[in-house]
Amino acid sequence: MDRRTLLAVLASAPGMLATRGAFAAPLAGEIRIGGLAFLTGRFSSYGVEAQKGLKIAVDTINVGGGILGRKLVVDLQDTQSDSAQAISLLRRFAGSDDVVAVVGPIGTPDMLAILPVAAQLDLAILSVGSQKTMAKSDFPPDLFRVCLIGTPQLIRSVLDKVAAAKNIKRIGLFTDRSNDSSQAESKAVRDAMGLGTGLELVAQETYTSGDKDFSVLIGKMLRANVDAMYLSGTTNEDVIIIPQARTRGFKGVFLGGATLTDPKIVQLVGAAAPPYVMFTPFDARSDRPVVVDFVAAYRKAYDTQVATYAAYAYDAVMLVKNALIRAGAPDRKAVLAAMGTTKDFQGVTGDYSFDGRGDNTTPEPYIMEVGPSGTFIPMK
Amino acid sequence: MDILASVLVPVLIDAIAVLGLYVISASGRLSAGHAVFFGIGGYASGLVSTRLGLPPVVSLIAGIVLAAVVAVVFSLISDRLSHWFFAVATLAFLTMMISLVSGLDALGGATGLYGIPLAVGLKATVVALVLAIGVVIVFDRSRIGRAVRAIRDSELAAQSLAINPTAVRAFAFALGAGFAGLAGGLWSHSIGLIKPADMSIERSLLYLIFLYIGGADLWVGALFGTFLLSLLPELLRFSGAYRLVMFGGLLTVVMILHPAGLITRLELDRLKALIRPAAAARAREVG
Repeated sequence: MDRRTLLAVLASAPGMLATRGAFAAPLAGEIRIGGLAFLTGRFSSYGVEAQKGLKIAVDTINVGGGILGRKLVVDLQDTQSDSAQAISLLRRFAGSDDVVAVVGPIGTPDMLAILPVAAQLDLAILSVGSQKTMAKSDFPPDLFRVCLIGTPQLIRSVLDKVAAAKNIKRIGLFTDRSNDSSQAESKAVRDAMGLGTGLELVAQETYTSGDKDFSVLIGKMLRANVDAMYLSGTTNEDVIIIPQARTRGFKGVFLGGATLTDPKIVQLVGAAAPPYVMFTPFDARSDRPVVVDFVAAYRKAYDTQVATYAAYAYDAVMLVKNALIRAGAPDRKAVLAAMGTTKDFQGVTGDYSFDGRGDNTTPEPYIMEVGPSGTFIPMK
Repeated sequence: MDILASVLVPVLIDAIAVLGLYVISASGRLSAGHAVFFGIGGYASGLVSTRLGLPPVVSLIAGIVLAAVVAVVFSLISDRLSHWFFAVATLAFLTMMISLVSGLDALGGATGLYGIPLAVGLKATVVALVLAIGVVIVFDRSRIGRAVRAIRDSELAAQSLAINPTAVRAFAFALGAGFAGLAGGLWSHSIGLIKPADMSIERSLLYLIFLYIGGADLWVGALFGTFLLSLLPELLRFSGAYRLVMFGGLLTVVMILHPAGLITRLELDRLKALIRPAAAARAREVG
């Protein structure tokens, strides 16, 4: 290396430090909220959908005049499906005085990872799409969740309805043992069984993210004569399990929660999907005005089926807007206080009320299935 | 933790791990699974903190010691493996440990160990890095450090000087693993969790890239490579999944143009000449 090159490299170091990070400075007259989503990595399909919902929300708000007369900006950062990134990015948002709230992270693994850090911040954080059952005391004072929580009681209720509608008696359960969310949902399913349903859990199989051949596990399920397979994992494996199971002769129902609402699953597996049932807080065919407006804006922008995670992210931004308006100023502490007293906020994924912290106190599930045209319709 | 701290803490932790790799490379060995000791240190620290409730300093020491002990055992078992075969063995060991840890519920399984006390910030990592640099400087100037390099340069000649190559290699490997164990412990205490994914092949590969782009000949090169290549992604956060592609390309270019890395003894001498040309001229006259 010659002298000039060496000096150039060394001289650029302070410049690199000075321009560290990709956090843009806000313009005057803007309100800035942080966004955390996995846009790359193994969970990216959910993050990409959430990003769409965020964008619809921001556009809707800004077209309507912004919040408190100011333009809303969401500084969305990619957690790269890495919990350590989520923690690091959250800390950076907390260190930026102009960030008034954070939407995200998405999913259970990152939500669990940020719990200790969140407890040190006075910054409203709206976790999106994390389903793990948690007691209110487990939440730090500034963490809220925008998600339909799959509690054992809720799953029991859903299973009973599905069993009656689809004549199901024997269930097999697939769990991704490398995924917190899947493990949490599977635990809730087992606990739901323990509450007493008309169903019997006759097979339980686990796999690891990245597995490609599920023939042995499916074979065990088939030998157990399951009528339904409950899939608690994510899109990457679901799109492999479903066609492999159909190829091996499984004609029963695929069941699941919000992770099964990813439209990409149905797009990729096509005719292998039905019968396919999931529970979700979002029904794109609802005639509620907020849902009608959201779906219209979404279809105009993307012309695809609306995913639940897009709806969650949309509601999360709208909840922040609601809190900002009630707070009266883009002040972090005031927004946090206002968020904790949210009452009867009409979101597209249901009506939201928060009691200080934690989960929505008024959840409402829909049970949907895949219709003939590949769209999600209410289960018959 | 402010923005600067949140950017620098991971970089400083990586720098400590890469210093460990520098020590190992001084013995002529290539460790392609260095992240395994990062993970061992992280898990050991995490377990000592969460299950025994001991202070972070104790848990960090536990991480260092366990990583070093495992390294000694591994080194003795694989002592007869030459350069590339040893590298493959370290990679195999890493893969084995990832599978083992992922399957153990006591360690949190594939989802990892949560609830580790958040006890490490910028000050602690700076102190740790300074101490690590101090240890490396002492190592470089010490008799054992010279023995390690003698083994690398010519094992036969070293043996003729009554240097035990097996023991010296094991020492270097343990010392390097200890650095990685410290880095893992600091990491687990800085983010509050440790996962099998933290001891990944990707992390091992990145550490090798940091070392060999920076220059494996000097500890300054190891630090330079780490800082340069860690801070670049902050500017290029959009690159995301293509970061390794970028690094791979950079490594290829550096290996072609500067096989010894960006900072070598020759470059350091040139830098000294830039800063103190008179002194360099006098040194040349005397030399």
